[in-house]
Amino acid sequence: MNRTIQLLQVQDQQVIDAILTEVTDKHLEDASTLWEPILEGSGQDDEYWYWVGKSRRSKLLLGDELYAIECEGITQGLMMVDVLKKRCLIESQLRRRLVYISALATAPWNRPIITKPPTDKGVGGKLVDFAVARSYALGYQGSIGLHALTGALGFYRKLRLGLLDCGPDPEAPDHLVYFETLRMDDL
Amino acid sequence: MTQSFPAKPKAAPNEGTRHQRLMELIEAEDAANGEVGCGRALGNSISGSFSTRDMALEDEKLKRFLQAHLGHSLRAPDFDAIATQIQRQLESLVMPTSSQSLGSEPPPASTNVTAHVPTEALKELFQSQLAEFCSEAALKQLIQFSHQIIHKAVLRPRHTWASPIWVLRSETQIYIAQAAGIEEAIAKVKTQHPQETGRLEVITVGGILAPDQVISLATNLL
Repeated sequence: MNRTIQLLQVQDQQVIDAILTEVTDKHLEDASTLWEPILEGSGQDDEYWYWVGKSRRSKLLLGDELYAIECEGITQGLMMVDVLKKRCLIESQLRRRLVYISALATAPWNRPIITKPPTDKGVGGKLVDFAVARSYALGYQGSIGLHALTGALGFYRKLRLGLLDCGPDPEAPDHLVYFETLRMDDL
Repeated sequence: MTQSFPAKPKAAPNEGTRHQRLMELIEAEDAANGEVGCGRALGNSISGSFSTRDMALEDEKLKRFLQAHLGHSLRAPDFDAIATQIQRQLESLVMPTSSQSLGSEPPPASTNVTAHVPTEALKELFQSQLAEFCSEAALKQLIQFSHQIIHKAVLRPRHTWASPIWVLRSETQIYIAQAAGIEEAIAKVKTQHPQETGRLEVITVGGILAPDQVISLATNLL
């Protein structure tokens, strides 16, 4: 699966093409060799994430899938989704299937807090949009769910995808805020 | 309808709509200063208790089992909540974090958490699906977690929780309504505040993930 998407190259304000694809060893290698040294000591929430480990986990647990955004041969973003094991938590749509975003991160050079100005914008949003598209493709009617990292709450609130802020999840580590698509068409 | 949830997919996007969507995504990204990450913390290595093959606990089988053993006191929403948490624990066992826990205080040692479902039956259920993938020790841990989760659910069944509390915003007002669903919440606002004719936006909801949940709102929203 290769899907052409657009990102904004910040330096010259140009819209450029990138590829959204299933994760390969090259993407995992980029995360290890290019991302991890920059993230080390950064204090970012994903400083200790280990994408190679996530990939191994995805091979163990049915329904886990990994995707990457690649631009000019370099990995710009990574996402792991669970398309099988999670269900909706909002009462009016309880038990329905959704695509749960288990992990999502952009390359450190795309984050203003680390690299100013960042290289590309739109990576995170394109990954979330793909999760929605995957949900439609699976017959889940676009429903997604995720636990947002603390700094990213504003991002998920403004995505215009109908994600409802369900507040801090008492069962999640660090009580991360849970977001889920609120489907209005069934009500 | 008076809400703002444009969650419908855009059919066959052309270059114009694709560009517009990219600008929307960038606007959202800028709102969080480029921070877009999500995901629960997982450990960095696979537990040695698991083999490297596809593994899954069948949701429907688990719920049928719960229905058979707990149907007299719990209902479908409770079984869903229990199944979700057991699946989550299974994942945590595959990649343990340094601070792995149930996410809340364990019950006192004196509490008999195993009273609700026979351990042997639970073991049989898990063994039939997971035995070839994980060790005896991992199965034992999962059974122990499951007993605690079931115990919590029996003490406070989800179907007895109060209706969620919805926080809605119009152009000039914030409304807080208790209702089972969003449509009912909007209807309550309209009935009790007939002067409100504008668009209502859902800001947040409390009481979906836990009973008696405190809602926290940034002051700049008020």
